[in-house]
Amino acid sequence: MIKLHEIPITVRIHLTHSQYNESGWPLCEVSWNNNTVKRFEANVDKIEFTIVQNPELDKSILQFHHYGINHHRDDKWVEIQKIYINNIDLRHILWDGVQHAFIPPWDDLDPIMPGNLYLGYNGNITWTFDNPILLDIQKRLGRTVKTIHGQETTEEVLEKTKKYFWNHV
Amino acid sequence: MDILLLNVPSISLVYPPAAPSLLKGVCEQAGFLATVKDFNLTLFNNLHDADQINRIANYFTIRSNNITIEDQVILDEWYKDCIAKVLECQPKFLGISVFTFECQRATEELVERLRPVYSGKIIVGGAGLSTTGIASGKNDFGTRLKDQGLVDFFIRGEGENALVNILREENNLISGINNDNYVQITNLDGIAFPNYDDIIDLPYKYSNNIVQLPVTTSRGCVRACTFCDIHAFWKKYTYRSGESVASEMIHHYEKYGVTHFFFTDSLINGSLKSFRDLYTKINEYYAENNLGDRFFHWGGQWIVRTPNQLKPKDYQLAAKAGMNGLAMGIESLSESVRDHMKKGFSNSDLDYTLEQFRENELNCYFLIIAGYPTETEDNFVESLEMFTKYQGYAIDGTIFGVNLGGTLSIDEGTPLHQNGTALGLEFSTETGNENLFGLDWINEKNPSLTLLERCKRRVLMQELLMNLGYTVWNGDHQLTRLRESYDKIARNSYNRPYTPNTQSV
Repeated sequence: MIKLHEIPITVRIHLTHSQYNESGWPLCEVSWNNNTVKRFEANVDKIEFTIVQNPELDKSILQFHHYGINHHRDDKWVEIQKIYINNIDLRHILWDGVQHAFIPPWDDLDPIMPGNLYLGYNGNITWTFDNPILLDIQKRLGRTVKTIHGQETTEEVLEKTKKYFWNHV
Repeated sequence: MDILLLNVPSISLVYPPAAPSLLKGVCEQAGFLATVKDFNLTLFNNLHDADQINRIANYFTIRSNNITIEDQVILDEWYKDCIAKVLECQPKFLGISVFTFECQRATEELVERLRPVYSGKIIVGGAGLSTTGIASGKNDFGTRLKDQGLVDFFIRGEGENALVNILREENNLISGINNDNYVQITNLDGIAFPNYDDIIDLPYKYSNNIVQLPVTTSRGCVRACTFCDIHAFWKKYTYRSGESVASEMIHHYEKYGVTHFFFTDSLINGSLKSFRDLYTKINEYYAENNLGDRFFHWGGQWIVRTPNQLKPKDYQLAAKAGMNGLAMGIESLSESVRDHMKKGFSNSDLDYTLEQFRENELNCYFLIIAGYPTETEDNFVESLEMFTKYQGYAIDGTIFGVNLGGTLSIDEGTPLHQNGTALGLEFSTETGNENLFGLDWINEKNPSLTLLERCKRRVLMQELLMNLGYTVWNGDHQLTRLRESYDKIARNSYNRPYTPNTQSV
């Protein structure tokens, strides 16, 4: 039987970014459960990578980092536009990401910015998912339809039927 | 009143049944006064205990089931009430819609009680006149009731012309009346729209509590799948024009305020011209009346088309017109199994369809058969892998449900039945049954696919789907029936003919 945690997870992040200037392209890194999976110059409109879930973890953590800005002189930024996981559009889940920015001392801003997908400072945005991640996404998207009255399917009847065909018969 | 048209248990309560209201419209078009009553709803709407509802539904739908004394009292009262309502109306004719074989018991028990006290003519019609599939040559139920003098007429095939003919008391020996030689109606656009006046306000169990009306756009099917008997019953695929279907929907909207429709026929997109005319006319109506996109909600059965047949623009415009909730007879996610079924589409066609649905926020429902005669272990695993591949569509709601049915049941009239010997199909020698019918078959060319193996595959598939986050519909009922059927086959009683047990009620 196929196990849920063995299903590869392909993440595709769509982004927009500042143009090349004398300090170069924005520098970005993506990590999954604190392991770097992608490091790149933001001169593309999307990136993609595939990971395998860790069944021993309760959560999966996706982080998008923007780094390498010298706030005295650089004007670089990236903005996350869409994230797809196994081609599933995360839609509003995107806004559940929390930005933690490294604010320069002369800016009086709260460094914790929920739902801010524009990275104008060094910093990162973190999205946290329960595992198995796809079922968590399903729950949070809320687009599934419940069976109507009289058309139910339950674990109880499934287990009873398994016992019948595997043990009783 | 000229005719009272009835529904009887056991049928779904999710929306009003189509046939009686359609026939009411047809009768009225011909100048007769007709009334519709839904006795199925009357019974089940007054029951509130889920176990009792199941017991009574099973009494009507499972041949060998008996009933408790408490339930018997309820049914006795309900039959008395039905008879009182018929007598109160004093119709010259009484028409009973035998929608499937699951309506046979209620029909028979009702006419047995009515016959001594009701002097009008009794007519039965519907797919349920045959116990062994609608295409079966055996009109066992209708013939038996007629022979026993319990009914005056049975109507085979479509009822529109035959019923009017009976009401006119003209030549009642025409096609389909008390004989099986029905002739298919070719011009469906000439048939009156259904008249739902008598039942529109009844408390059906609509999903989301929104009134939804059935619409029939076609009869028959453009395909001839090996496990299906539709094409044997409806020899020719006939369909209404898109303009006619859209006009009916608009008529119901303007008359009743209804915006939700469910298409009852085998496929919405059988005729691509009719399909395109349908969404075009609806979109034009929206524009003319300042109604927003997707103002109507309509769905039904859909066949997978190739990218050459249906373009992305078709999906966009159909979505704009409000199409959604499409049931697709996928049957197997193994391409080679599907090829044997003659389903007529490839995995890449299905990939394209699902992606178009996702792009246009359309959702769909898979109908699946586990345990087709040629399905090998590898084919089964391939199906499971494809469900894993498509998991994302279940996660984002593009696939809103999967119906796994029981395992494959072979019905008379299907190519599997007709070509059974050539295909290597035969009745199970273990149980000694002599008819290739139902679940009790083996394939000598695929001998490891025993009934037990088919049942296990059915169960394993459901388990995987539930784990992957698919919503499996009607699983409890299907698995319960699968166990019961297996048990009966094991006791060699599965194919035993139905013997009415009228003493139990």
